[in-house]
Amino acid sequence: MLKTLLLLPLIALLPAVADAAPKPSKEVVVYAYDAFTGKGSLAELIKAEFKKQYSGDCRFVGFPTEGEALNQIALEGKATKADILLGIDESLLGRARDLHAFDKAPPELMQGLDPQLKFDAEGQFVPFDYGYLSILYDSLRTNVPAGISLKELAADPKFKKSLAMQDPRTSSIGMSFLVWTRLAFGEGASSFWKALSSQILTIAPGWSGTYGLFLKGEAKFVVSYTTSPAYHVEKEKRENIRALLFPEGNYRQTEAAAVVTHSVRKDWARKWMQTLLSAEVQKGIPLHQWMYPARLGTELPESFKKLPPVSKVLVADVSEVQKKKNEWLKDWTSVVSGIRP
Amino acid sequence: MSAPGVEAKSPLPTVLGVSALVGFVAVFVVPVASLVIGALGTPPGEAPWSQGFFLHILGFTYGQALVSAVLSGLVGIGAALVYSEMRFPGRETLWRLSLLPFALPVLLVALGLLGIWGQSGWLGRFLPPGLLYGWPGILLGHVFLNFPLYLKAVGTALGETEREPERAALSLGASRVHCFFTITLRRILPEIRTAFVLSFLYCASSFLIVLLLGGGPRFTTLEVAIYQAVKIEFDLALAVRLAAIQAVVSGLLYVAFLRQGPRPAEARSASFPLYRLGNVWLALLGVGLTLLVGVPIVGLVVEGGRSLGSLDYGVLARAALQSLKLGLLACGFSLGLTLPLAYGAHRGKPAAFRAWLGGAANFPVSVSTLLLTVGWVVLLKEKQDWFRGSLIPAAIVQGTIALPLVFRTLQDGFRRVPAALYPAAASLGASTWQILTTIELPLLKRTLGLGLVMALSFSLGEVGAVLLFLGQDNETLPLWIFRLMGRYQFSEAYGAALLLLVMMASLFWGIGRLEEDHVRAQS
Repeated sequence: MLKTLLLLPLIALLPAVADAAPKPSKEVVVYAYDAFTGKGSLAELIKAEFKKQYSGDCRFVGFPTEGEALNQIALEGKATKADILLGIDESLLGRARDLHAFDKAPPELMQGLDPQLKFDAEGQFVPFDYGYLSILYDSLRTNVPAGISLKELAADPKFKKSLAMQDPRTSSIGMSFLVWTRLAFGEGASSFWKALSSQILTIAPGWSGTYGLFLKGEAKFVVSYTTSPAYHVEKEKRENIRALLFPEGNYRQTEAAAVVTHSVRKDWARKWMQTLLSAEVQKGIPLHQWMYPARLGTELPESFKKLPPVSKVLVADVSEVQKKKNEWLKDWTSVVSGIRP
Repeated sequence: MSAPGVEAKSPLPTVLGVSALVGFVAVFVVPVASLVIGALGTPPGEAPWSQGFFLHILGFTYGQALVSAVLSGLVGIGAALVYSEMRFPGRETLWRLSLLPFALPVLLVALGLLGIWGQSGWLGRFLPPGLLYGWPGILLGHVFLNFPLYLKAVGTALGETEREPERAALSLGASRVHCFFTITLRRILPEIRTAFVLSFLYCASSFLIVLLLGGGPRFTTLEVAIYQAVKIEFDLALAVRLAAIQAVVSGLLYVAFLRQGPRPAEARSASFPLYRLGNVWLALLGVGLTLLVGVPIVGLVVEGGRSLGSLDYGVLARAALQSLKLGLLACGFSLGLTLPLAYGAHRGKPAAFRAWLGGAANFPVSVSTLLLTVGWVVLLKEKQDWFRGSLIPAAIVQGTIALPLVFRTLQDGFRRVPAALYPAAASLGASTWQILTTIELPLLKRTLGLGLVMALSFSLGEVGAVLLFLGQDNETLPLWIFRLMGRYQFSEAYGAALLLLVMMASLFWGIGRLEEDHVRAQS
């Protein structure tokens, strides 16, 4: 019996060795964050469309976060295997630029895209989808006064210990929330956070933890996107998950992709970018990514059409974010934790 | 370190130890050292935290680790005593499945605990709102995750040591309390120390539990800073300097607690109940453990059960198979490396070599997993095509992370083998190899089973290495669960988690059966 125990791992080795088959090399390699890839994801749709439109092949390499995909490109340097990097947003763009590792996109590529979304002035990263940050609640569980402002939410004693948010130190949506408050309140952001800290139930390292708590009914509010309610309408046929639009404005986060300078398949990589921005793929963005497509005039599903339009949009200044990020983080940790620097 | 009858006459243990050490250097020292050497030349960038806050982080990291490890010890040793001293229905089930909390992905553990103890949880709703967040939540989470280390180590030791001295003491009129503290406790002390150091270090590098159940940046561990440095800032020079703090602390702990010599020889006999704890104590401990461990797991089962109808079983079956393959590989790698290491550290020569092997095998626990994985990423930066999609690198990383745990388990096991057996067998003409395969290994069957389960449980719930090294189309069960959650599909994720739970439970159960069959075949 003992020998059987010790043999088990060896048996497991056989199929694993067989798994390590060589991969075909004539395909566009896309570095992305993990949630973008896998079964039933937008990546699958893109793969199929790329084949249809250009008879091209592509392969996605997933990283835990988009930041780590960028780190990998920094590491690989000239020898990089990547042709495309996907998933860069306003808070990461500064670091991506510093690498000087991406090609300027031909201006035609932006044609038909919402020009307001262009957040990379140097024109390397082309936006493919976007969403507005919001605070969500369940209307069956929580009564929220109509037209409530961020400031009022932070001050209302009814909402003590009720918000689940993401840590800006460890997640991009958390960072975006921090940037949002800086845009909305400027230097007053510190006092806003001081007020909000009594409303925070908990802070998770990433989005999944917070949204899980919200759906469990543990947290009344969660930081997510104005488009999140569409998921619950589409897949669960319920309209009680609502997103708040604030008089101070909602922050717009844009996701972009770029061709890697050291790519050895640039022609194919550019074609791939066209597929990403093609009407067919853009149409799939709402129900795969639960974000808005970047292409103007893309037909939206009913659940998206019903979402209230965001009237006041806050947009980050990329170079300011890069310059002040650390200062904002230090201020945030000290205000929310109550520990003096 | 040296004791009579420990060193083998043949060079076999030394040779085995040296070759395992070479393997260890290849999978651990090389990636970490290359990172450190690369980082030493570069000055770290500006850290995104203030100095005052950093000092606070340091104090909190090790303060909470100490409290967590002590509390886990009280619960774990209590549970081990109940297990070894009492016969009650469900005893074997408790034993076999007790590593489940340790094996589950941490995010699931946190959501499971909050489902019960959170302000809207099954039981938490009767408590003052928000009570859990902060110290209570952190300690609850850490005890839940770490008490099995004590239970398994101490329980195994109690099952394998001889109890005659206690029986003699009790029959001579010693009180049970006195007998416990003067005899039993002293014999399980090595296992307690091992479990203490390991759980202290695991809690010190805790990340998600501390943030999510702590509730805010007040509760931040050093690991969060390392995460920021490695993943967000990509400032490896900073990360290496932070990790050096961790390494120094665990080095000190190792010197203080784990560098003890082997115990004197003992004759073996079957264990039997000694301390007839009253039914009241049994009931209290039972209720406590059920509330602590049972209810959150039942909560996960119930939650998962709701969505069983809407799961994509094709994908899940593939993911489960992938997890299983990876788990067995990681296990095989871990045991394959650890067994010769532990054997060399037990019987190799000279004494200094044994001490060095012991120190080396404990080292991975002192280095952040984040650093080990990024070390591999940096080392293999141009070899992506070589490893993407293969299970082997992920298994190697997981096996390396589990190594100190499995090593300590085996080392403690080797020490429990009565020292007199070796010289006795040798004088009758048995070779060192014969002694190892016909005497020592059979006596270690429970310990080997435990090592197997521990390595397996490490791998089954692990996601970090899987995310880094596996391709997109061969996701494991935990990775699939995280992807589902990332796409709003929480109910499907809980369903998949139930499947993972069932898979782990049946594996642990099966291994328990194997161990037991062997016990019966022997007696």
